[in-house]
Amino acid sequence: MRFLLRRLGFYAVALWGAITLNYVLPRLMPGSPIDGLLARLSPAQLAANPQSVDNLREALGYEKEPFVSGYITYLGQVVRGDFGISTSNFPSPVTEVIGRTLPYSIFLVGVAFLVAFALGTLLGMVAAWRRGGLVDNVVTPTLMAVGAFPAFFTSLLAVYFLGLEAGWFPIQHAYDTDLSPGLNGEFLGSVIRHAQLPMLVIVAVFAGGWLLSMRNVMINTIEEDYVAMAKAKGLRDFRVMTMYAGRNAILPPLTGFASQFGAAVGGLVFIEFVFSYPGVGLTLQQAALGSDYPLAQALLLVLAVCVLAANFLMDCLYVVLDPRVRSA
Amino acid sequence: MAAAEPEAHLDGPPAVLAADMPGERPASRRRLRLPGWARLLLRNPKSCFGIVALAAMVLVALLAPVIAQNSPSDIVGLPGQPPNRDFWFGTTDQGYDVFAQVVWGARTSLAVGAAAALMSTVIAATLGMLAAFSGGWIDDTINLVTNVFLVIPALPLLIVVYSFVPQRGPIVMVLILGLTTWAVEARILRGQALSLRNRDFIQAAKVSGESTWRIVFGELMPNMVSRIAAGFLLVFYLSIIFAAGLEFLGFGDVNKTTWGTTLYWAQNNSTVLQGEWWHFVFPGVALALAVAALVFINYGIDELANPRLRRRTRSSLRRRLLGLPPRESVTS
Amino acid sequence: MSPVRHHAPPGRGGTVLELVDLVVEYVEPTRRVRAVDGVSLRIGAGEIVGLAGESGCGKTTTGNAILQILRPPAEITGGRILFRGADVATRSRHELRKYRWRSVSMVFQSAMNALNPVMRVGDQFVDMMQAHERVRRADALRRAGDLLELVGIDRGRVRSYPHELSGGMRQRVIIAMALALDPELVIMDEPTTALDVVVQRDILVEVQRLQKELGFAVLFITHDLSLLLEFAHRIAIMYAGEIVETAPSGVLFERPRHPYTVALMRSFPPLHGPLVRMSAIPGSPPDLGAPPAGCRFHPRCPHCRPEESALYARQVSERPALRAVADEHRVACHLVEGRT
Repeated sequence: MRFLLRRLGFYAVALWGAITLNYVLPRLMPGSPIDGLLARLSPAQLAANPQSVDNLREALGYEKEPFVSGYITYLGQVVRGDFGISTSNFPSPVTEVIGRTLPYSIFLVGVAFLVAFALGTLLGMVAAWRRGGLVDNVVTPTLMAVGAFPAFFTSLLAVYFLGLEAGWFPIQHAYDTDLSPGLNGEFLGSVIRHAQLPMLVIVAVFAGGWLLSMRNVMINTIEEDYVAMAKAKGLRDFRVMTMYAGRNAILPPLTGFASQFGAAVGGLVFIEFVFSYPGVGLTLQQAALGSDYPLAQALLLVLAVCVLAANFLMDCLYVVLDPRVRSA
Repeated sequence: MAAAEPEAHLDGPPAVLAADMPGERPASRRRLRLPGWARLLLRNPKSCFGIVALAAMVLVALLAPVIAQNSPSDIVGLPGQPPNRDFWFGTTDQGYDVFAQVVWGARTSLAVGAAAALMSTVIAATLGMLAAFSGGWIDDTINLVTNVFLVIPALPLLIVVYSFVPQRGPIVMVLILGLTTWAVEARILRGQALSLRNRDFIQAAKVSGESTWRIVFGELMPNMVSRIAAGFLLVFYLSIIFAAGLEFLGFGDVNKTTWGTTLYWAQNNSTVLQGEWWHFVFPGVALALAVAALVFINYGIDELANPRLRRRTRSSLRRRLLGLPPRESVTS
Repeated sequence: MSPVRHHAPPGRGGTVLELVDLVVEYVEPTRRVRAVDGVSLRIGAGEIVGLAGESGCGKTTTGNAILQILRPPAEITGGRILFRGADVATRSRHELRKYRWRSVSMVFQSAMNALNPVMRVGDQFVDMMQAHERVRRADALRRAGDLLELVGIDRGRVRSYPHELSGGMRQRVIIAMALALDPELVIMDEPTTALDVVVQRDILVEVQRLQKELGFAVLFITHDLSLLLEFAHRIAIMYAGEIVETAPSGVLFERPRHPYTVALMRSFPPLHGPLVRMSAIPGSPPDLGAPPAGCRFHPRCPHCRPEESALYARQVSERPALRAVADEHRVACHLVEGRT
């Protein structure tokens, strides 16, 4: 329990650091961020509406405030959940945009990443147990090769070969464009169908890494005395592989889950971009290109929080799985 | 970025490696005097493949004017041609030579990756060793900053930073990548420096009055060279991926020729949806090959450090028969 | 009320295990190394047989071979292992699983590593019992508790994890587990080496008590000859993959014949008696990939001298066979002439 509290404290500090970085970053950049935004407005628009510049300035809250008091104000805003207005989706507030897109991303990444983890570790376990067998010699190098391709390349390949040429999957958006969102079977079915190819890509990209790390740990674990003793006790092969070897071998890769999740978020951006999938990744890319700073920064913070939350969940899982941590 | 990070690393002087390989002939009898580590890496099939592949790509990039006759930024043929005898990789929908783009693009992509990795490794090694050696509030501060950078997902951070910077182009890319990707290695190197710090030779240096800088760079760093090198390779391929990815999303200078920008144009002009697969497959394969080469070199280093991962060799067998523990440095 | 059945006392009940010319090799693509080279041994019901030798002489490999848990690339390439007369190697996988632990069980060297760190102690008993017979979890747990009490541990510890127990307790748990299915033979591989001396003694006294009460046979593998002299009925000395001498422990203590045994006896100082100069055995154990020709001990043997040309010629070319020099006392040495 103390372990979890310590982890929570660590995350709180990291979160504070991320928030602070978010505040400091635009002020470190050359020029005022507002200039980038102004550059996108045509002279005609500016001339027609001179007040808009000042309105935007105020709405975005960048100017005139000194560093420290601006920081306090900012902290207050963050705590209240007030991230301002999204300039590219004017006049929607940032929180509304995020609220619209976050569920799709969580659905996509949540399911797919867990599947990748489960599949990868299972295959890694079998690959190590039966060295030189089918899984070890065929599946492992295949997944490693696929995982070596950058995520966006794999997405392009998938879109082209599986979506376009073979026509097995829909290749764009989260649901059929003629449907409207609602909790009905047709809509949900469409959502699931459209999510299949992106999820497949995520699994293909990440399963290989899990497989390799699980396999390497498992190879060492198999040499342990308790595995030999389990065999000597006359237990079934399957039980020794899973409950004795696998159950212990999964712990180190689990600690790597945290850092892999950060990579998953990066991959998510690419995948959503290629598939035009309306999640936070695509939104971030568009916001950044369009100089929509409030939205971009808020998204960065939200993503950081997601990573922290995923880490914390993994820590909880680790405590459940490894009794030695509980007494430490 | 799914390739796994190396798990176990050499934590001792290179003498460990030399003693592991049976039957070393003295260097003086050899005609070609390669350093010990180079010989070992070439002997391991995985890292040998990586080194050869990487060397080949660097060679192609350097010889770009010779290999690719056409300039990548000239319209040289009919648009939209599939690979044929004149244009080995086909032409884009605008009429550019894809082969030329891949070959010339290799220069910028590899150079950006290497430069960013160099910058990142220098920062990581300096901060890591400094934190481990100084302790106290310096260590705490560096730790805090490192943790923050580790927690914030890399690509979104890069995207947001990029959105604030008005200039685009390879130099900016190198700077931004170098300044954001150091965190992972900094943590690992700090860990290793900490374990080395308490070893006798460091204590002896401290007691004999050597200055901190001299100890860090003169005594500590030579023992961490292998890990630093492995880290450099890691950040190298991460940088290649990040750079290409950012360019793909539109954050690079779209008028320069790199693998990422070629892919950007492929996506932007919907060549994928039009079925012109050669426009994105070839640059993508080049990318994947460069990354794979570096990853495999790292696998080789991994296997050298953890003998159990290798195919069983005579030396590890002998140790087992004598009842000696296997030579390894497994981190859990 | 003891949770296991009683066996016939020592001396009666026949031969439990017999090794006949056992050969175990590590098979590599380039060469084969014989870790166990023609070992023959007999263990009677209720008998405590010690197997002593230096690290790397092949004794642990022998123990692993008996239970068929050799790790690749180790393989049994010759000889037979007969349990109650039936060859172990010809058993099917199913029969082998039944044979393991029920007929022969093993106490591993370091209990810390032999217990699964993420499972409770009781569960490790339960899955072993459920693998061999139909028993409900509650009953199995109860029996586990009985077994723990048998070795002197509070039965509440059934719910503990291995890291919550001390070293001595863990070793007792391992012993309790080895006895759970009432085996006829228990192989103990360096059961006390990892413990401090005081605990060592306690454990050994415990094992002696259990052995007298339950009547199982023991194959006690160790490098510590002094333990065996006190504890075993019969002792076999192993060197470089071969057995060089076997005798009842009292006989071995008073009249060791093989030069290696003699040297081993001299290498630990007695607590009582006159001060004797300690002597180490010069040289080191041979590389089993290329063992010395003839008698394997000859490079280190004080009685192997080139001046004695006839004897020397035999020593370097002919492997000595185990010959009986008295009842139950056999030696493999060219210096010793056997009976008949």
